[in-house]
Amino acid sequence: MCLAIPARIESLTTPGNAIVNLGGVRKEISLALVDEAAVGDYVIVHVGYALQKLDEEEALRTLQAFAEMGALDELREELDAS
Amino acid sequence: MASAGKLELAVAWDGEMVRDATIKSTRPRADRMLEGRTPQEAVKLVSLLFSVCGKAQSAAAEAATAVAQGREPTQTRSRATACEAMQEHLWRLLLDWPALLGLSKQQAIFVRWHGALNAIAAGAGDARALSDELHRTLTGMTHEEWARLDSHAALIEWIKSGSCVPVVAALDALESALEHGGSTETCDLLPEWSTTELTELYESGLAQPHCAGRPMETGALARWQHEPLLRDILRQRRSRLLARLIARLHDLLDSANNLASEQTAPRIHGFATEANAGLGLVHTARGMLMHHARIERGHIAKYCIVAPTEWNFHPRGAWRAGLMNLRERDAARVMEIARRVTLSLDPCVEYTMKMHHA
Repeated sequence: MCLAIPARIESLTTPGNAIVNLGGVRKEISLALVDEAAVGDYVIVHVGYALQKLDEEEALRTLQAFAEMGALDELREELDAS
Repeated sequence: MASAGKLELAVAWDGEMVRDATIKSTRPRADRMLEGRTPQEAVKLVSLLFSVCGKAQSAAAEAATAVAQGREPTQTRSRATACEAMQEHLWRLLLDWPALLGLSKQQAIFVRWHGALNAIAAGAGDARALSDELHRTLTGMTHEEWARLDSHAALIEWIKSGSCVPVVAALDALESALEHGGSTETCDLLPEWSTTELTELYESGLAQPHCAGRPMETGALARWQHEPLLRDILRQRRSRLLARLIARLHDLLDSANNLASEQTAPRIHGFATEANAGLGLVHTARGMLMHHARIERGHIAKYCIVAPTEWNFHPRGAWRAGLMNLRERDAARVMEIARRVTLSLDPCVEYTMKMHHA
């Protein structure tokens, strides 16, 4: 089961790409599948693509739920190792 | 990325053939988050936790909790669930398989169709135009012509005609080159569900589900195993790589045609397992997704989720069967084949794969 951890867009890079902050780790992704994503928006990232935008309130609520189940620590370890 | 849970896949090879294929898995226990909440809160939380496959997860949660409360599951999420499954199929056909086989990714058309399916899921968009375009581009046929393709011989003729999506021809060539047709083991395909089987599924637990005591393969091939074309491919070939890809294409095109003709193909099912408990089942792109909920005094007392990956990457399941006794003397080629078997079963979590000498 692929959990959907929200990532915040930190900067726009080459056209159509962005740097996101995923649990404290930065990663470049494609914005090709979402409309009008801007710096500060939260998105769900799936294998290198932003899949959908989330409003901030929903994103923070989701991050809180993941924090409760310890998934963010695990994600950080995975990203640091990769 | 955005994953939790992981598969560690290992292939044991003796220089001549694959002697063993083992799987270690960890799974996210998101289901425990749902216990103690009301059914409404649980359905909402599921849609937050699983946005990647969120439509199917929400539909399964809604069906399980509805049945547990004595209501019939609704099909209100059918359209969105079908669109989500189609987007996943397109991802594999246009991005992942081309990348694995050294072909060009078809990103531009993928992005366009992904967007069209978002619009259709939201009740807008032109489902007939999309269905026609999918059939024309991926098969060179109309829906009626595709439906008439009913044998392995006809499939080969279609592949030779050059009008099929490129990954089909590439995978056919690679599979045909396998020595002795590939591995010597098979894994049974998950059948349609009877109440007895469902009760056993529920009782068989989570991480290693089984049916009639045996692990089973789930996915588009299991769903469409009785279609004449797929039945004949399974008869003619030992390896299931091409069969799984054709089944995926069939599921995509069938869903496209259903959306265009406003039919509701039932992807969502609900069954009562005992008093105040229900199973929600959804056909996803990867296979059968199962949610089980027991409700006591208006709150979730017990919740469990079985994802398709738990079936297909069972330690004695379809992934292992796809590699056992595979004859190949080139180590790099063994790993290439193992990667293809893995993608054909499409795990929904991150995985690592290594080889060691048996």
